[in-house]
Amino acid sequence: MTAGKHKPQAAIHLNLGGEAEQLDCINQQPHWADLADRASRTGRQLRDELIAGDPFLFCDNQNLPFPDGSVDAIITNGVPVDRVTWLGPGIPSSEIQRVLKSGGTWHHDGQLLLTKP
Amino acid sequence: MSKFAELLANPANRSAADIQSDAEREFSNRVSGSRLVARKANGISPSGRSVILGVASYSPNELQMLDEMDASDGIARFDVQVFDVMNCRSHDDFGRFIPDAPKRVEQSPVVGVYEDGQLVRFETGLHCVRETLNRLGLLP
Repeated sequence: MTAGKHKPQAAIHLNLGGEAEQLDCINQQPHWADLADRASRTGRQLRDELIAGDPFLFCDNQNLPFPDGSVDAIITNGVPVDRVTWLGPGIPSSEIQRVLKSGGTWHHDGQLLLTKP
Repeated sequence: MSKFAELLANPANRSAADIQSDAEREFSNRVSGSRLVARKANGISPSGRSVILGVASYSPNELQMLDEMDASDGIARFDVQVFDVMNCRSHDDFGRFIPDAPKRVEQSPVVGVYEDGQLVRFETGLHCVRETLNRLGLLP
């Protein structure tokens, strides 16, 4: 009998509002965005970043599609947190807290803001 | 002279929301202390050669760009007015700051370039706005 294969789970690093400016992250963009949109920082289409190997997730940032305590690290760069802009609600810190694993980290604008207990 | 980028400095590790709220509140004071002029939401097109720039007070890159403009010799050649996009509650609000701006604004920063009261160029996003300001000689 062949033993079943077990793949260790890869660490999940989430860049909320990300445009592939950081390596090895899933870049989360709002559900109303798409790959034809241009990244603010580079002017390149998000499609080009995807082709270059950077993954994107388009979803509602108020309800991230991750189970509680499942994300290893979260990064936010230059995005509104717990604020409302003309585009709607920004990133809720409560969602960040919810999805982070115990010991998981949140870096905001390059600064460690939270290590979840 | 205090820099715009310093608005988001967080040496005490305060919450992101608090830092961003304070930056929004302090933004107009920082403009007053700079060589830039605060843009009013009056829907009136500026005369002459003018640039209206909207930045997000929660964005370090965009505040850094304001610091660069403030230090640039080029702003003497233009009427440069700035505003915080957090003062826009809807897409329509952008038209009050940048008359004749497109109906939908999907990202910040935003820039409108005017000549003799006519909007001749409109760009959004950091890369395209920086390119525009560079071409005008407004970034060092």
